[in-house]
Amino acid sequence: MKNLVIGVLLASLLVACASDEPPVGDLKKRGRAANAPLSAAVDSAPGASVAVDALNDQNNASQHSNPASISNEVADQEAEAKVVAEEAAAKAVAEEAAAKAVAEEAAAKVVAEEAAAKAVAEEAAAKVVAEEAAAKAVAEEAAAKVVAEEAAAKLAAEEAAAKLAAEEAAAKLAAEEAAAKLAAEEAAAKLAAEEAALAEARAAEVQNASLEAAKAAAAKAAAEEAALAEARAAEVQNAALEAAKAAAAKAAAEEAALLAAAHAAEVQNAALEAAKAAAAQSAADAAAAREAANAAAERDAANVAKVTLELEAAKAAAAQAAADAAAAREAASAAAAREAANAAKVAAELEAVKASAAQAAADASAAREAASAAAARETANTAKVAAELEAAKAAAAQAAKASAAQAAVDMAAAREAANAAAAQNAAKANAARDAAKAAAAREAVAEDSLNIPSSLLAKRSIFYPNDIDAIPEQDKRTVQAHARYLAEHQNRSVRLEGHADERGSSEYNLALGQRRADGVKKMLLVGGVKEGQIESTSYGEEKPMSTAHNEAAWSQNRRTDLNYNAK
Amino acid sequence: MLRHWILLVLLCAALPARAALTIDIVGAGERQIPVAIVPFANEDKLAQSITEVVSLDLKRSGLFRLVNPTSKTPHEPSEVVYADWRGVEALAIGSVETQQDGRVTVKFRLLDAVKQTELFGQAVTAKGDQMRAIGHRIADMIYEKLTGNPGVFSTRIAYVNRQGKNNRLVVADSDGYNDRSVLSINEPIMSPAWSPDGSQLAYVTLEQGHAVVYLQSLVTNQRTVLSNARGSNSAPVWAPDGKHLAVVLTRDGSPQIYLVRPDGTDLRRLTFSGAIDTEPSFSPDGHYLLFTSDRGGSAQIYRMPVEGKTAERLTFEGGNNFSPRYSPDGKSFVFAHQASGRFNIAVQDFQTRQMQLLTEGGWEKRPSFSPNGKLILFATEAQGRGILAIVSSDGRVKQKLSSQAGDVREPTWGPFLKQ
Repeated sequence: MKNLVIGVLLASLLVACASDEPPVGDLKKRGRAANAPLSAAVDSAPGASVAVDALNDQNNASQHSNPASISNEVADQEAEAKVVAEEAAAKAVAEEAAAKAVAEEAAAKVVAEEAAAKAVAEEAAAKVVAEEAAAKAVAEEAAAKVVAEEAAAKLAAEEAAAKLAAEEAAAKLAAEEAAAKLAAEEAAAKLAAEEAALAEARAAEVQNASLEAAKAAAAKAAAEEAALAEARAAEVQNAALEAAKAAAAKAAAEEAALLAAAHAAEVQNAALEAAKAAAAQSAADAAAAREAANAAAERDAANVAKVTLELEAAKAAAAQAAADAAAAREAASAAAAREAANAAKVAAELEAVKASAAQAAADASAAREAASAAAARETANTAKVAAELEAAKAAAAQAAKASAAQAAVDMAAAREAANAAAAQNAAKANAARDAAKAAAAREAVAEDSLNIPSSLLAKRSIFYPNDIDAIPEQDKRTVQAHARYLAEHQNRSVRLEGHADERGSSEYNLALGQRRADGVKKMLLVGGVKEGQIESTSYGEEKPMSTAHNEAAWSQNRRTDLNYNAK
Repeated sequence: MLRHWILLVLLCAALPARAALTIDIVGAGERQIPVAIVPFANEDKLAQSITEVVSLDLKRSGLFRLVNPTSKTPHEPSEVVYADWRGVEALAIGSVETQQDGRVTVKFRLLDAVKQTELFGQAVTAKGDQMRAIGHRIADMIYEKLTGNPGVFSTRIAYVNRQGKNNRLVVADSDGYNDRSVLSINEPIMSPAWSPDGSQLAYVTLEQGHAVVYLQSLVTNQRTVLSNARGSNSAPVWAPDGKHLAVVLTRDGSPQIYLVRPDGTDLRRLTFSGAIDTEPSFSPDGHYLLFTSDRGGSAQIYRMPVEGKTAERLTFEGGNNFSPRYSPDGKSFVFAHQASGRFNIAVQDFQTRQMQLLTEGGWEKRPSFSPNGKLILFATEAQGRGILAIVSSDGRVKQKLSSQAGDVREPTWGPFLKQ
């Protein structure tokens, strides 16, 4: 009987699970129904007592109809009836009692089972509550963790931002320092140039002065020479005059001799002799005068030679002075050229520093972008964690649903709540996933820095001086930037194409182009790029960017191209 | 309508052949031999005049002065009146006869006009379209008889014609006629080289994205890849015995010289300088290589034994020296000499080590000897276009060969044809 009741209870529970009404009421109904047979059993008991009463009435009636014989028969009958009635009454009483007992048993059983069921249901309900609580607690823990992580991420981001700011400031400072230094150097160079110019001017003045002195000396020497020449001419003239005079004297003497001869013989002779002697004398004088003139002429020649020598010496000195002046001028111009070169170098260094400052700024912006990408990544992670949390919540709800299938009472309510929550969470998870996808897409675009026009990676060509295949200093940063990009994106590959200008044979230029490409390849490998990402080839002079026969065209053709779009 | 087209086609076929390269000649040899070439009997019936080819060939060599025969037309020795030919040293006469099968028989003689004797005579029979070849043969014979050196009028040259992106590898007679493309691609072609028997060309193209060396038969037009290692494969040149080629490969780092068989096997490295070693050229006995190297800091010409490792530097003057080629007699070499930004062709004697400049143009490259060693073919420019030029080995006679369209570059002179 107990098993039957339990079975009925279970059956009623299952039916209740299917229906919307709480099962509790049914149990009560069932309890009432269970009570019915008992009450029916109890109700049947009064029938027995009616029968007994009827018997009693019969007995009473029979007592009144025959006093004597009848009284014996009646008495017997009465006694029999009484016995029967008593038996029946006893039986009825017994049955009543039995029925009552059964009924009470059943009632007690039902009560007990009700209680048991209630207890089970309460247990289940309690379990569900407990698990819910546990799930809630877990969820709260997770939420708390997420909050904590968010906070940590925020902190980290702020730290990074602060660091960046600090680095930027430092870079700015450094750039300013460098600029100031350069300005100072420029000023110093300018001063030095000015000094040099002054010195050069002074030296030039000195040279000019010496030149003029030499010129004066030369002029003097020339004047002396002229004077000497004049004197010589005068002396020659005098000698001539004297010679003429001597000749005239001779003639006069001869005349005198002739006159004397015309007058007297002895006087003539004596006079002749005297005249001869006089003529001889005059001849001797003339000769002497001529010798003197010759000697004078020789002396003059010697003087002239001396003077010419001096003149030449003076000229040589003047030439030397002029040469010195020219040399000094050349030195001055060389110094000026050197200064110009230095100034150019300084200007170039200024450019280089400016370029490196620009580089620092570019690096700072790149770092900033990296930080923002990291922040985006963090939010994506947060969303991911939230999604996981929601998934955990959903899983917890699922578990609650599963266990509620065994409980008695609050199962439907809990499952219903769980369903609603699950639907909500699924919706949240989708939203979070979409957000994460969007963030990832944005990150991908921002990260393909190959396409940023202002970055170093936009430079796809290295240019070289004539007949050189080593990478020039100012292009090393470009190659290193490409190396970094390729090392970080191992799915990307590049083709290095070396070129050369047209000077030299086509074969030599093919070889030169290959060495240029291979030089860039070496630097990429050192920067962490894999062999398989690089192809290195040469086009020599066969594919020039410009075909003119001048340095403008040649400098464009001496290059290595980094080709990311080769098939 | 069709008939008109056929007529037009026939008309074009009947026109005389036109050269792909036109030639201008400047200068004269030290001594010019006066010769007269009398038009052969009946040759006006042919599509191509033989004596015209002979006269042009002898004129281009710069060693002959062509005397106009005017109205005199002897065809047989008996018809020659030697008194008419004063001032002429040699006289060429002959006749042409067309056979029934369309073939042509040419009889000719070369007469010594001074000694009034016959130097030699020959008869040749050939197909009607071979008249130019016969003219070249006759010119060769006259040249050899009168100068003592073999003529090169029957040899061929190879060059690259570039128009825009299109590059054609062309083989032609040494006077520019009978040109045909053996390769036409839209990528650069470089460095053609003749096999010693003239049946194959080795060359380099960039059609695979990097320099690759090919061998192509001129008989079948089939080609094979000789070397396709990574980096650049270039500068092929045949050894005189035809059993090996030297090539320049960058597979081990720097461009270096290797030996390889024509089928691509038995690769052997010859130079180990770590610098640029390129443009190898074999000596006629096959034992030495000339090559360009910048191992000393600038491009210069070195010589090394094929089996040895030490190289000897040969050029010291000027800024850079490139593209050496041995002369056929092995006594000198020709090369491109660069000084003060100008490129000229020069020869240097191995014995005297003296360098002689042969040109003064300023943009001359890639010289190669004719097989008799008397002429040098090279690439140069005129009016902004690439053309070819020939200079005699003593520098006296110069010819320019320019094409109708495009740039002509990368020339190389072919070998004597084995008869």
